[in-house]
Amino acid sequence: MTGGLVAVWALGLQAVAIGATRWPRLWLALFLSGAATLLGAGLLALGQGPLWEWRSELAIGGEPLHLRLDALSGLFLVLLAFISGAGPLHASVAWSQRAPAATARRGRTWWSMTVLCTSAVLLCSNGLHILIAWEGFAVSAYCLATLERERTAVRAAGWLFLAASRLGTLALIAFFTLLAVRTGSFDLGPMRACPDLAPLFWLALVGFGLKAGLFPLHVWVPSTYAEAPSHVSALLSGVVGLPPLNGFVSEWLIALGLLESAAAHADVALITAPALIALTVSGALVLATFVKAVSVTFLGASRDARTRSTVREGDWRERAPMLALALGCVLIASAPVAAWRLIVPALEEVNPLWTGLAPPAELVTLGRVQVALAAARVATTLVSAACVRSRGRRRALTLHCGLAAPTARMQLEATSFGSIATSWFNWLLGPERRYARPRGAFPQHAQFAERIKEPVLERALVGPVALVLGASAWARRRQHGRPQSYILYLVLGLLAVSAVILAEVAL
Amino acid sequence: MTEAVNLCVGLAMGLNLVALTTGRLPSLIRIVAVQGMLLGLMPLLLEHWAGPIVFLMVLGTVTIKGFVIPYLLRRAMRAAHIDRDLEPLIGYVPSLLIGAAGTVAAMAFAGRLPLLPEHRDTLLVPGAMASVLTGLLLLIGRTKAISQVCGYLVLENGIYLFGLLLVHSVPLMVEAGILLDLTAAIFVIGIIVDRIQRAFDSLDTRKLTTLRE
Amino acid sequence: MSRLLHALVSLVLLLGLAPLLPGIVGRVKALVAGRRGPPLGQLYFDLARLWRKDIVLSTVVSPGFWIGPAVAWVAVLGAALLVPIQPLGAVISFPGDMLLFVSLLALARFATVWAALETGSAFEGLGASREVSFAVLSEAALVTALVALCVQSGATSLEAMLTPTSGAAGVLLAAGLFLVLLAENCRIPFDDPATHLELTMIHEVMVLDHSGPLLATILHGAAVKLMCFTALLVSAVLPTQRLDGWLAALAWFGGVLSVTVAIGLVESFMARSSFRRVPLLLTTAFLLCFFALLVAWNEGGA
Repeated sequence: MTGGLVAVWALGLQAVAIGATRWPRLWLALFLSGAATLLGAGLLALGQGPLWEWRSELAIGGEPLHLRLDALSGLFLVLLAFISGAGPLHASVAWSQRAPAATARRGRTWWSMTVLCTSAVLLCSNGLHILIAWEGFAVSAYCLATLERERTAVRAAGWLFLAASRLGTLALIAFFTLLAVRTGSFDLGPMRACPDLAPLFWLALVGFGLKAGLFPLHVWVPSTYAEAPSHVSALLSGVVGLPPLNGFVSEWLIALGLLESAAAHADVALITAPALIALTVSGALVLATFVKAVSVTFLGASRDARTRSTVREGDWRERAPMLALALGCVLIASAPVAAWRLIVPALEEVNPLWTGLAPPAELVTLGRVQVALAAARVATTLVSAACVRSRGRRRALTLHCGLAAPTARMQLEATSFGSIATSWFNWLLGPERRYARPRGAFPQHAQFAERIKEPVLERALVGPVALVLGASAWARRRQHGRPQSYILYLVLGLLAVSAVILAEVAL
Repeated sequence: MTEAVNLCVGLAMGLNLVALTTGRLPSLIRIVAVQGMLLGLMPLLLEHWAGPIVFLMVLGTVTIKGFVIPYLLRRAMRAAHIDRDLEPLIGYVPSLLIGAAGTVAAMAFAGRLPLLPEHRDTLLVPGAMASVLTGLLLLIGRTKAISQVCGYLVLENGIYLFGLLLVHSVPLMVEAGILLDLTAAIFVIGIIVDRIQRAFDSLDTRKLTTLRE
Repeated sequence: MSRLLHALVSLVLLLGLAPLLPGIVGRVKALVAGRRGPPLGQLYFDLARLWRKDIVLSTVVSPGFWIGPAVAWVAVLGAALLVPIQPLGAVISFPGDMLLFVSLLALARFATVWAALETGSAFEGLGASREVSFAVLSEAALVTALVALCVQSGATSLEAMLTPTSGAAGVLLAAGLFLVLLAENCRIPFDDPATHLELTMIHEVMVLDHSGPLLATILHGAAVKLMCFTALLVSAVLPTQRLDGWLAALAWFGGVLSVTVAIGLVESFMARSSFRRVPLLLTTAFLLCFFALLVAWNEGGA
């Protein structure tokens, strides 16, 4: 069975699953088998599988159906299968216990729709059908992100998400139609042969970049990812990773490339050497951010009584998918050569010159070193655990160096943790501060709150948006339903037209 | 000889950046004095001519820039009873980064200028431009009057370095002119500083804005 | 010399010699102050004593508290295996390993900071915040120095890169790497290893709650990290590659000794600078390394 037929079978299973959302377990079974089939199709395509194409006379929107599964689609199908398969397991707890049944059913329906549309985008090879599938994906993603519609913050984030996706779809419609006009058909094949279509790349960048959250098109990302349920955010962002592990391997490959250009004294090193330094600085900032987020959320004692009583560890169904995804990261970090061999067929599709790239020798060494270090870490952790167990640990309060009655509220806040690093960027970020200083010898009340305005959304866009809103408000005020004003508008319009005609006649 | 010239000018450029980072007036005065003495020795290293007049010139420059002017500044500082801390308008790290960027830009720019062959691989031109930039940065970025005087001195050092390029055609005129210019300026500034101190009881030049009608 | 023997000898040298360095620094400080000072092997005695003691854990910590020191120790050891010990060379060497070096040090920092934040103490949080913030600048300086070495030698592996630089680039690089060494190992003027006032510490405050074997692991890891940076500085500046055999080993040990004595002298004659000036000092270190990079680039292109 070739990869393509497997993929179609997977799509069929997904479609059937949409009909079965009333029965959670049946849906879960159908969906997971669909995801597994999708995974198989992707692996088949990445393996030795030949290119699978299928054309049909069936016309949707006036264009004949054209499906195509190559190694690049296969790679993304694999990723999609992993993430979409892990999500429902994680959500099955939330969707069965905590949320009302209607939200759960909506969640299942839109989850299936999103995965179906994304798979269709990856399989279609006709511009018009990609647009239709993309639109379906955008709408289902919106519905998924706003599942908990009762909350105001979720609705506000949803509007922003919708606005951004409308803009993205507009850019993509422009891209695909211009492409069709230039190449003569909606098919994607001829695009590679015409290098003069390069300016259209910017339209595609805006369209896809809005979805991917590239700066400065990222304005919808913070609010939506914060308000949407966690598995939905995972699906939308498709980013899985722990910085120290597989993120390191990919960063290492990039940095090695930059470094080798510097060592070879190439002219491009004038850009790559500063880029390498900037990459390191951003890596250090990422470390600081990660530490801040993790420490405030998970470490120490809970800072207020409410969380102490209501927050508890998740179910095995919530933890298992996260552990599985984390295990994937560890595997990629330990065996980068295997991951390389998996990805190379997809690279061949992008550029035929990269056929049969062998993994560089240093990557092999890196993989071995990572495995050795990981083994050493496990060994020392076991020794440390043995020490802790055998040395008669006594539990005591944290050493607070003279503080007589420490409370949980005295722990470091996230704002304070990041204050040193953010103070270096104050000239760029311009934070708003609200504070009440402690007064007197025995101060009762003190307060400090700092907020950084989102530079693109709240600074750059605020002006033009206010302008547009003002203009549209003015226009709306002109349409107040009074017939006298409408007659006046007609008269003014007629006078303007006659003035134009008279001017043309006179010239 | 080019090595010795480059070493001197390189050290002077390093002192520029150190001057941008100090937070206290006495150390700023000291740095400017050392830079003045270092650059005062330059004519001895440019092996164009040697003679008793050159030696005298060098001795005079080193004495005035290294001892007389700092003494006058320190006396003014003590008489004014001012706070020794500099309060910068441009913070220390930004001024350091701007100074470093200016130095790099000066070196890149100097590579494209049509210089005489003997000046092409020396650091004279980049050093001069960098010193001028540092002097201007100190003048703009610091508020105390004496620190602005130090900025002016660094600026003069830069112009002096430029003058060394002309040493073939106008050997001692340039140096004598600059020295005279400097000494007169310091005297005048000393008087002004005394007046500002009497009028405002501080040397913060931002208070001069109250003079406008 | 077979690879296994090479690895064993290097490991023994690194792990065994490292605790001597803080002892030398302490002895230099004492001599400058006119005292006799503690014995050179004081840290060995301290480690042995700590290893025998019990461990006291806080009530709020999770296993991350005692996993952190173990992971940090392995990471620092991995980084040390990448730095060459003359004349044996580095145990592990492959193109691009300097990036692994930087990232292993970052991992060690991450593990130590995690263990510090486990305790829920605001003091340790303060120290952790300072540590990760200043690391942004010191890592920039370290990477710039390594890129300068890479440009000057044309190689991308740490062992091949560390050919000595001469002239202006060498002086700038030495000064910059020395400042980075002082910053990363929490020495004066960035942090005072002898003080125990929480408001003024960076590294010391992060290990306040550790005891017994955990504290011994952390102290030993800090000594190995100091050894790493010292070896890096010595190999980058001293021309030990041109000598061979015992002469090279002697030169290398001499270099390590002089750098350690220099650290002791700096600690004796300077005071810790205020926190507001630390970013300025780190920027100076970055600029020194950056100018070394520019000089190396010019010399390479010309």
